[in-house]
Amino acid sequence: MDLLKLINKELRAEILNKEIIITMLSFGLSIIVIISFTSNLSKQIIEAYAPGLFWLMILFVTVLGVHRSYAYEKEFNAIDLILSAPIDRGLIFIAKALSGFIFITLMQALIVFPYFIFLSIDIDVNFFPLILSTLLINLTLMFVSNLISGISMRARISEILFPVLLFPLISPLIIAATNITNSIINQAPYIEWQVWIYLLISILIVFGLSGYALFDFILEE
Amino acid sequence: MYNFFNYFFFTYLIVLLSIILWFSYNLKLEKKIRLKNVKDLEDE
Amino acid sequence: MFYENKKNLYLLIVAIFLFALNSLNIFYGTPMVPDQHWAQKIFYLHVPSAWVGFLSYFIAMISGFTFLSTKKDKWDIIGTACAEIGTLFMSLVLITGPIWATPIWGKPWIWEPRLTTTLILFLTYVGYFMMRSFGGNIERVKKTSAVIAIIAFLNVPIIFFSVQFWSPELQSHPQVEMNQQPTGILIPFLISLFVFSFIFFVMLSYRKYVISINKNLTNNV
Repeated sequence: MDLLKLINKELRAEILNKEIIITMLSFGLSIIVIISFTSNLSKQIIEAYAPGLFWLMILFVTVLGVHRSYAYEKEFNAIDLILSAPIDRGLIFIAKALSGFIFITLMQALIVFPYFIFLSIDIDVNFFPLILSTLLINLTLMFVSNLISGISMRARISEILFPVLLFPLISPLIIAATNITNSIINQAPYIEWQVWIYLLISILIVFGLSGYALFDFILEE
Repeated sequence: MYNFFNYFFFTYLIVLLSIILWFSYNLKLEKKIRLKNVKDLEDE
Repeated sequence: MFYENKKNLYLLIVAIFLFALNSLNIFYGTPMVPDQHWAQKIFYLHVPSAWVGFLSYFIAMISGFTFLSTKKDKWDIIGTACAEIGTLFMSLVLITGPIWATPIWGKPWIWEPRLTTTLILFLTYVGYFMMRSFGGNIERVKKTSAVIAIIAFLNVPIIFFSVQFWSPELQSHPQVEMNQQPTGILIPFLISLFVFSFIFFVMLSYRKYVISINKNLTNNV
């Protein structure tokens, strides 16, 4: 299937030079270190803010990673080569989003340990809902970021245009992510935070469908 | 201010002035573009 | 000149006349609410501006769709004009909102759903204008700005609901419900709404014209 071939291409390019994952990881680590220096707050405040801070860091890392993944295509005009292939262009969007999802999940699995160690956070969590909701959040985050990155990719100032466009549009997702993680950590029953899950699913559907339908127009030269 | 008149008046002034400024900016722009188009036609 | 045309001049004069009448009505014809006095009358300016802003962005989304399907420049011109006028009115909302809120609620800004939606739409359109100015190739810029206009407005219900569920304690600030107002307030409000919409359409027709006669289209349209 075309989609699998596209995802395969992304993953193989990444395995070959590991650029995106290393960029994300190192940037994430530097953010954590800087945060530790700038916060001489009490332990309770950091533990209360921990989920929000985590998603903030993931957002910054995503900006870098997704921008890098599209910058690949601009080098040597690879994007024109893909566009000349007889495939459904919406699939390019989905392939990039899914491969980005794999990258960010991998990166999160690795960055969680330094995050908890450097910020001295000691939290008891119920792992199963946390992991499932994090996967959903990652998927939605990647769909939205890839759509906006596709929009801003070809501009000369794409490096600044992408965050400027992304941050307003990702606000509901960040609100949802922080609330879900907070609720899971405070062990609130599912009924209290299920509305955020529905919100995430609706964001996923809206951006996924618009991305799939509009990517054709976005990528045309 | 007890009756808050200053707040309302200031707000009203902002709305009024921004619409007036918008119109004057566009009128000047139209005049400039017309002059430029006429000059371009004369140059051809 | 645009206003040498009798019909356009007539509409402009009607708009000026209506605005003057509306202002007189707000100053003298509306009941004075106890405790809030003159500050409550900002409501007659703030909410119609928000209505016009959202209407403008809605038309921008529709013309975005139409531009992508028909590829006629006329729709791109309408989209740009709507984006500009909409951003003007949304800035008015964001300026008059805190001025209204300071005497009424005590604080200049609270994260209530409608104000937050206005802020996020405004920021998204800042990205829209950055794309139009610095995006590069004008044909591509037209398509991508249409896409930005589409997803900006599609995001509105998502943002609205996410902020509504975000902090229930903010809902203690009473939202102004339109159909529960006494007639002394409702009728001047509807008049003001009509006048602002009329002015919006006059502004739109003029701005459309100014953009279309700019034959040497630079990126700073």
